[in-house]
Amino acid sequence: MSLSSTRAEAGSGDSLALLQRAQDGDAESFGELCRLYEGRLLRQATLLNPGCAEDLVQECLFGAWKYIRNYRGRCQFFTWLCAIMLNQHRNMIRKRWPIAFSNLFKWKKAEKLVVEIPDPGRHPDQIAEVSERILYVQKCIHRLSPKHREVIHLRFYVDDSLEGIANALGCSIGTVKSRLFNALGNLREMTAETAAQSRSAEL
Amino acid sequence: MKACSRNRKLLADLALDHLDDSRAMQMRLHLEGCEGCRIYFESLAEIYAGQRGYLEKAPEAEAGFTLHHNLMAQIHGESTRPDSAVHWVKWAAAGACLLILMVCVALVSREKKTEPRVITGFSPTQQIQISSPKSREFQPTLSDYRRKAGRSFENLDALLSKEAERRSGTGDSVSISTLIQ
Repeated sequence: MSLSSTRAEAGSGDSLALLQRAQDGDAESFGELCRLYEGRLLRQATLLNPGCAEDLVQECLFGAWKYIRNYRGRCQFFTWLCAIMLNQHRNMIRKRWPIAFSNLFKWKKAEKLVVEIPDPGRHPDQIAEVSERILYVQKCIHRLSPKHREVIHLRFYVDDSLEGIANALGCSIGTVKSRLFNALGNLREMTAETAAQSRSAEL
Repeated sequence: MKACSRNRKLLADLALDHLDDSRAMQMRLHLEGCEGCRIYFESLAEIYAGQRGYLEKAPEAEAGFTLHHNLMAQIHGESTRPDSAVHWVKWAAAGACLLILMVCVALVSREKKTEPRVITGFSPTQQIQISSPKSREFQPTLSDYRRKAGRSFENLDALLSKEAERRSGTGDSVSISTLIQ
């Protein structure tokens, strides 16, 4: 089982009770529930847009509070929150939220985070190469269409089952599988183009 | 070398861990003998494994106090009950619809009032048409002259003198009784 899903299950007993009280309209219980998920959501938001990560999380949790009665437990609560956040992110791109000048430097901070991941088994050059590739794939994910980006994000970073993703996005499992296949194919083509370009530059 | 077209979806499923054990084993056996499929699978698996590895190794982000504080302020500022915003929008939409309906009804009834009324009950040749005061034609009566002159007595005097001159030319006499008629 992956790291994220284990964390989700560890606090499920408390979170279920909090969730039920929040669905009955208890704002304080919802606040406690938010505390459990804020950190993980912030990391997901940093992957989507480091410049507006905190704003995205706040809007996502506020949206979740408004529609919390619509959550039926067909997917993990965290997946449901991430689906709301992806929707908010799509709206943000459409409306072109204003970004503070200082926030532009947070992109660099996020890139630094990846480069600084320690890996004792590898040579520094190899680590740098792998980190570069990871960053490039992330940039390619941002270039995908919103529907493809949503399924890729939920499968890669949230790690829910196909059924959970389908319920969170409100579509069938077949649609999720098809979108994943197409999105992965597009990502493969994008990365292959870059590899060919870098090889020709080296020659 | 290209990957087998019929295996591409299965290779994507294998890279994303969606295949059951027997099917995965079958695909892995195929990969040993097919170089095109192997290259295709490795490129997909690298993308997936790279991103998964990044997420698991990256440190957990810590949400600041301000984020939670702002969120709770937003929740308490909006309402202490969920779905309140949705209800508010519904009521506002219903109110707007009602208002539009009332305005339409008022406009239609006003249109009906301004239409000329026809008193029936006589023979068709004797129908009397009563029109609204504004649309009525000017009649040489005292009230019409007063209306035309406004509040000015000079204008009224001038109008009456003009009418008297006109009638004296035709031989008609002008008196208050004829004007009132």
